[in-house]
Amino acid sequence: MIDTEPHLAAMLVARKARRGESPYIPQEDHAIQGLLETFFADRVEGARISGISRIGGGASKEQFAFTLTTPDGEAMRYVLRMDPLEAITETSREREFEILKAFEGIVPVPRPVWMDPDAKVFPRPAMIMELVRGTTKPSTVGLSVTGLGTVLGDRLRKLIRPQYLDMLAKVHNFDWKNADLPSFAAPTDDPKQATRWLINFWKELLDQDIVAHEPVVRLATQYLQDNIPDCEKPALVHGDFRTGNYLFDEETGEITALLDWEMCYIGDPHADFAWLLAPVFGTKIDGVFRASDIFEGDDDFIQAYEDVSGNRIDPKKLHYFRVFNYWKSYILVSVLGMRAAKEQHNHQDVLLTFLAATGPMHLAELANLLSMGEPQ
Amino acid sequence: MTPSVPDRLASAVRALTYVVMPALPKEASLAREQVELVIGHLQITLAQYAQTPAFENQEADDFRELAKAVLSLTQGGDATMSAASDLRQTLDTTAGLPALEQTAAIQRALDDLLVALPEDGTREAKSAITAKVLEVSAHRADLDRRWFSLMGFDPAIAEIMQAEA
Repeated sequence: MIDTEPHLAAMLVARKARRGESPYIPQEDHAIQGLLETFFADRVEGARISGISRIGGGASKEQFAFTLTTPDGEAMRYVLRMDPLEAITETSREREFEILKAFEGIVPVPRPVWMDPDAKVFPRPAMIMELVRGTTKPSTVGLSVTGLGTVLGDRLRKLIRPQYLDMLAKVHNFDWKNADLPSFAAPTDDPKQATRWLINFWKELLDQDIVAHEPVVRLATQYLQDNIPDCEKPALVHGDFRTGNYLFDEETGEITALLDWEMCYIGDPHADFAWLLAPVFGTKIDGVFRASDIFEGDDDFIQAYEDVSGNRIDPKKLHYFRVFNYWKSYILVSVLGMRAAKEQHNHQDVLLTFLAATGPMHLAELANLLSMGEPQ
Repeated sequence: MTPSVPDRLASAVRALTYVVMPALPKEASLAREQVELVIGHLQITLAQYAQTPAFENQEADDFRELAKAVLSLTQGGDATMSAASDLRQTLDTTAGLPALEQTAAIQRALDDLLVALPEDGTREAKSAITAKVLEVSAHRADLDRRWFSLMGFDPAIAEIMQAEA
């Protein structure tokens, strides 16, 4: 077992065993209908399942919306989120379920209702949550990979900005010590443990799935292992906080749900800052770069975040986690994604091979950051 | 030879764009997104098709040159020099192989050397090799970003290419 959170270490062992499995065939609607009926047979007696439809977007889970009607006629829409055999991420449905439960009433989240973490009914681990109204991008934006280069526009930008900051501050100031999160482990041994666990987790994924031995990735791995900064106050890190990962009401600009918690962990929140400031998740219009299409550069974000959260951002740690995030991004798109596509272990191979083309952007940033040295 | 590969790809794009896509219901969001991606892949493959062999050869040549430069800078103990010997041998045995195979083998042997260096490489060698690897990695990343610029993810490289045109 590698030195990381015990739940994640066990997950990494289990994924190795799946490597030799046959190609994954995406689930058809009628098969999902049968699985849902079996799942609910002894959970909601007399329930009727209807209106099953696949949900697009995202590159990690198979998702289906459906209506569950109880015998007294009450109908609710839900989302089934199920793991493919392999994906662009390696995450746990138990952890996602627990964290969504923990954040109910703190920030808007989809309410998690049921799960099948050991795939007793569904072919792969799955969870079910309430469907939340809203969109991830304005209707004026054409088909695109969700969250990459999404332009909110002036009106929505102004409405969303304070909510975005408020949510991020609440995530980082969350009292995880008193929360019910049995699948999470607290990094309390030493100030480097949280980030050491994080690096070990991603390095194991890199080693398991490596497709090409890019020399700059090796140098980045060595830099990350040799320069782990102290984390004096571990916080809840969302792990994928950016535009594209929240739903909003296009009319009012109200954020209705913060999504995609699957990569969250307890650690150094600088990882979230570096992630949301990344150019790949931002926009550049008329020469103006906006991180998450909201913040006009680092200073705009840092000032606003510090004011709202009361937390301070350390430029040296931001630099370290920028290296980490480009390294992680490369592993996601060009290692895990490409491996899943090559093994035909995913339902969206064509998206994975498309996303892998962002790999050189991450390599360019790694070469640039490692060349420039740490900020003084 | 008729039909050519570009002719076949172009006809597939037309079928997907004008027949398959309009036939998909609006609510089939995943299927629509997948068809868009397939069309995009085919269009970009079509645009890259003629240049692909040259691009792959250039990549193999760049990594071969990097490996030679790294070998000329390598100094250290047994682990480092053994990895260097393996890399030198890889350069010899892969010459003449298909470009993608050359690149993969050289990258792997170079990676072994980068792993050995912290063990017993000299400080000077580590520093010089790191600088060289970063220089070439930046160059290769620039070429790869240009190669994949049609994917539309990378406004920065698109801007540079536009300014150069």
